[in-house]
Amino acid sequence: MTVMAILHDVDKCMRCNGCVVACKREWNIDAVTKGVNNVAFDQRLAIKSQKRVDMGPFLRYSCWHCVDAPCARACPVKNAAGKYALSWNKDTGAVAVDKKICNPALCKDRFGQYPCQVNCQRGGYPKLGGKPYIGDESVTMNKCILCAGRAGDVLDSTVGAPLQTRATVAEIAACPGRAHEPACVSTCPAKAMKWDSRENLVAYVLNQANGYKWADGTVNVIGITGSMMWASRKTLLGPPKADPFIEDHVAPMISGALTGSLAKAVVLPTLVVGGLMAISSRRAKNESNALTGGEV
Amino acid sequence: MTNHWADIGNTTLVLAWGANPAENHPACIAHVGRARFPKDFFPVGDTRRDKKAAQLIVIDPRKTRTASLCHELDTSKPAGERDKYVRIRPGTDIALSNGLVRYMIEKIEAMPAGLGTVRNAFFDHLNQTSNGSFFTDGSSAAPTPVSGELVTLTGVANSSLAHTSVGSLVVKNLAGDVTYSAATDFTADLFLGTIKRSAVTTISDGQQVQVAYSYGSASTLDTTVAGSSKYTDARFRIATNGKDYQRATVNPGSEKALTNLPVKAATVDAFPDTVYNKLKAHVAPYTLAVVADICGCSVEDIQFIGDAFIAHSKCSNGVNANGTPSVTDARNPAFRATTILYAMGITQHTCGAQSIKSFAVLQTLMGNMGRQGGGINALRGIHNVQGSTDMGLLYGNIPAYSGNPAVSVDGGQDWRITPSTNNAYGKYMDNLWGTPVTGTGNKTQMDNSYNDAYNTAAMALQQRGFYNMTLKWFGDYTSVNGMPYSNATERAAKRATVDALYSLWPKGNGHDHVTMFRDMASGLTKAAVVWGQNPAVTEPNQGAVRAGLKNLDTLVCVDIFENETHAVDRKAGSVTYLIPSAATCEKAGSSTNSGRTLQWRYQATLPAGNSKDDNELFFRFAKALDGAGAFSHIQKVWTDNGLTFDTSVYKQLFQLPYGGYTGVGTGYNAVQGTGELVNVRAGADNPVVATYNTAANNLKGSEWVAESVYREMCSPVASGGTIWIYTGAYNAGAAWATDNIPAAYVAWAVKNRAKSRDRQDPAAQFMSHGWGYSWLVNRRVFYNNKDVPGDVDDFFMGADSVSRLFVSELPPANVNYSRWYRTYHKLFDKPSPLVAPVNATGPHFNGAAVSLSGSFPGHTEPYETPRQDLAADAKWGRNTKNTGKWDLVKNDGKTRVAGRGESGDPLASAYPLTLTTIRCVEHFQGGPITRNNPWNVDLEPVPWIELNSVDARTYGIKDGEWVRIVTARTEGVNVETAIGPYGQGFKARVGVGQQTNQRVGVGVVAIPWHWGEKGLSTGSRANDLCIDACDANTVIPEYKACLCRIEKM
Repeated sequence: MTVMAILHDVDKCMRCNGCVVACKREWNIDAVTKGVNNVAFDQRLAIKSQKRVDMGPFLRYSCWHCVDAPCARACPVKNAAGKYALSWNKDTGAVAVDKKICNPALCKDRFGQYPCQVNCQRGGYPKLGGKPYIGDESVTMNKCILCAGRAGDVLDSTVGAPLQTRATVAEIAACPGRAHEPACVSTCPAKAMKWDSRENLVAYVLNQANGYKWADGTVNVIGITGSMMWASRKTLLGPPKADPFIEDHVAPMISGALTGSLAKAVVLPTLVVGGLMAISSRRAKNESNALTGGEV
Repeated sequence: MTNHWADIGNTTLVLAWGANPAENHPACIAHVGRARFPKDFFPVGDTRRDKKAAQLIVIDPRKTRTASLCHELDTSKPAGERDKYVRIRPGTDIALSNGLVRYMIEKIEAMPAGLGTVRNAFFDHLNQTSNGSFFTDGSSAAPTPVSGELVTLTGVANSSLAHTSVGSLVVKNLAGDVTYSAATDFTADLFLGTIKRSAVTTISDGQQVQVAYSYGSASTLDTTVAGSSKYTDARFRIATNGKDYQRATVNPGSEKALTNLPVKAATVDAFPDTVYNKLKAHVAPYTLAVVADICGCSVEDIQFIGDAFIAHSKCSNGVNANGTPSVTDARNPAFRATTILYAMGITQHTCGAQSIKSFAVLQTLMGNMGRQGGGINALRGIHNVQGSTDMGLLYGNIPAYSGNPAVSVDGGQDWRITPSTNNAYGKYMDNLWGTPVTGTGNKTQMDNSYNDAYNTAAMALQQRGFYNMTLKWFGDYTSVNGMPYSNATERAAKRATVDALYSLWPKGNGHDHVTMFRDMASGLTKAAVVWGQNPAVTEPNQGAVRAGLKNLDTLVCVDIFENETHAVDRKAGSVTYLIPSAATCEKAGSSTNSGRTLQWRYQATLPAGNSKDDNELFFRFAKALDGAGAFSHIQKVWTDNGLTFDTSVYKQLFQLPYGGYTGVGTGYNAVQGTGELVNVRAGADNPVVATYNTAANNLKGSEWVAESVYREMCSPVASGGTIWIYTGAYNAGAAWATDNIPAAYVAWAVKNRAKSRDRQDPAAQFMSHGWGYSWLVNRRVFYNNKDVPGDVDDFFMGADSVSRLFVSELPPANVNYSRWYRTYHKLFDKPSPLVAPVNATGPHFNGAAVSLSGSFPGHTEPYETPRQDLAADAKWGRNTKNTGKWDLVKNDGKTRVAGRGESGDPLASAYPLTLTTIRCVEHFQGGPITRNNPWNVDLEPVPWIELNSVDARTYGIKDGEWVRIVTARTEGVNVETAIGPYGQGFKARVGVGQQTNQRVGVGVVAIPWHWGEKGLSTGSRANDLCIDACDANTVIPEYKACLCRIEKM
């Protein structure tokens, strides 16, 4: 088993959204409201401009696949065999959700929040996605799962068919996990995403000759400890943390819901209240973690 | 594309000019990435890592996402090697390109001369003949050809001096300068294009020679310098009337005399009337300051591009000791090449063809044609656009780039006359590339009785293709070899048959797309079949277009969704049909991409519901037409000429040749035939992917019909192939070895070469000749002059069959000496002369001096321009087709043009902004496919405009507000009652931050044009606004520049 990772070379990305659509295609994610300014709630990744002007750098906004992910540690829902719905696989690097186990009704706290969302250190990538709106507890949690079960060298036929690769025979021989690539990587026409072992990618981005380690000492790489990392030779990167309130021209993860009339009436108050709750709840958690030496 | 997609990976300078590949051709951007970041793409040990990392320069009015890929502040590179984005005003590309020509020539001429220098390499390229490097003709060294230059002689005993017209030669030495006379000290070798020293004995090794000749009067030495110019026509001399080269008849040795051969000077600057000197004179007004003013960029911008261009051209390409660029391997770190990627930003102007010509001038001058990583590369918007132009979809062409056998486009020929009495067929054949049929004194000439036009042995490629088409498409489909009337008696007996079948070609030229809708409105055109198009979104000046569609009696739309064209407002009593067709994955066939590569597209699934493959629909149409008697004229010709074909025209022309479908009923998907086993070739470089078509040697339905058509089109012409450019793309017998491809492919024989999927690349230079098949003859880099190792050689047969800087005004009949490349395209537009306004004696003639604007590209303003001062300046003006002003736009009251001054035309001052149309990555063309795809609609749900924060403040518009755009076309249109979504307006996207970082510059508004009133996402149509002024050559409208104003809604 190989610990795999995706490296998003931000300089090469031109936000064609091929990865977004490939992800939706592979995981059968519908558009939410056809013809309205919406992006699906169960969408697992988005490409957004770091700057307000839609001129790049374009960053992939998706789960960071943290090492020993706090969201997974917080997940209380497990099946009879003791397997948790949300889990971090140290052998593959993926933080994956088992939708057969996940049941939001079992883990909602008294503020109406879910442990995985509250504990995400990256702004709340796990989302209670799907149809029709947030809060519908018949649906389960969604986020990027690194195509776990369908990519890498650990396959699970119950998740779906193994995905294609564009790696050559030699490349697969050198890293068996490249035999199946996540849909986003395989699709990327700019080849802005690399799928390789985390070890290889870390060595690659830290090699000064490759340019991500700047002359001034800046290591312009985000997420280097996890299985989703970003690097740029060109622009100082800000961490792509999920923020449902940032709207830009391109792909508002969620903001469409805030501008639709129905959404304004129903969702916005819920979100605002829920968001405040989440922030407050997260802060309390963080403070407690800081005291006990946990991750902040 | 003169090169191909993967070849972009070989370049060292990507000049994306009027193209936005990141958003509009995203599939190609990885090739740009390979060129820019070779070390990111190839592992250690792969030689492709070693190439020079490419620089990216984007020239565009809009800072596109392609521009955002630029790394302008890359401190790891010297300032001149960093990426750059240059913003120019819409429609000023030619001014910039001519400015670059002037800047680069000046700069190179000012460089130090000497063997092995950039300057020598530049002139070596321009002067070189087919006999070899210019500077080494006959010996190891020779003086440079340029006046005023100092060179050192070595090996002078055998050297030759390449100056036919040298008046004098000054030798500098310590004892004082010595002057030699051309008349007494030299003798000419006309054929080699050199002058050999004869009487001069005082020059010895190591002396410096300064070439200090004066032009003087024409001498007997300069009439013709034979020996083919290898790369350019820079040495040719232009006639005093400016319409053509000077021409002469020469007799090179034992062969027949060549007529109309261009007169060459010995060197590019031997006479003031050489193409090179004329070009220099032509671009003289394009000074840095003037160009910066026209384009709205800075002088430094122009200098930056020019310097980078020089540094990444052949002249900087690792020259050897003789000054000859010696590096031919793109992986060599010393290799340099510039590729120009262009798209609609260049073509969609009234000067579109001239703009492309200006790229040809740039790349030919700088030696980037026919080299890896070079060329001028049109990025096609659709995967099969190249295929559609190959197939003659344009109104003036029949398939494979042959003119319609009607009246020639320039009016010089009428091929409609009865063939048997007027030899129309023979005359038409004479018009094609190949063996001359008429005229006298030609090298290899078909006889004057036109018998050779019926002799397959005498035909060249295009002629043979046309002959095969004529026979096979109009009846004799069974004849594998056409009708090889190889002996004279047989020819004489059968020529009546060929003439009869030739008479069946449709003889109309059709109508261009603007005229077409006018004809519908006037009632001339009664019915239209709109097949896979959506003109009710894509055509400019929708008011006139929709008036035409409305007035049709019958409108048939064939599409996979109901589109705007089907839903258009129609007159009472008219009939509209919508016929569902199959989507791309539901039908089989070959498609040809921009790089001219044919690739097979398998049928993944049967068409949904009751929709049909295009071929099936076509057969059904034909069958129905046959049943209604529409083909009776064909049957009559057959009967009259005693041709014993099937009594059903449908059966003879469609059913029997192409798969056997009867034209009625559901049998289409059941027809079948024998294909071949196609596997993906195993190899280290191949990915682990499923094999294609492993068991599909029994082809059915769409696969079999498409295979049948493909076999007919793509067989070698000698075996009856009809599309001459595709000759050999199907080869039933021979293996790859016959196709001049690397030995590695020999064992890999796929008959249908579009199905070949071999990623091997033995030269490691992105060739992969085993992947698909590129026309012609699987050549991947056109015009390569044998300079590209590993590719199929290209070479020019004719004495002046070179890349041209200069375009002759005269018809091809004046160029009647070469078997292969006799014809070339002339341009039909007449840009305003540089010196004086258009006058009665002709657009290029001003009474005193001859302007070559038109023959060389010259800047003209868009038809609607914010720079009225430049448009009114006789130096620039607007483009025209003939001598009249404004004649590239119709003056019938249906197109209002701001500033034209005709009745109903508003003033230009009412429209202070320039509108330019754009495309986004999420939507495709007229939008029926993508606006019906929820994922795409999610990503880009509404049409928008981009404007600058300065203009936004001026007009009081905030980001996200809805605005209305008004042009002369929509002035006064009542938005409350206007049909469709016109009144919805556009959502404003206002730029933020520094001007240089904003999408569009001050005074420019960019609008995507994908929207209409059908589909999941509806919105305002940009083409309500656009002007239908068109390029004179291509009839492409000026979508990229018109005037508008903006109003808050």
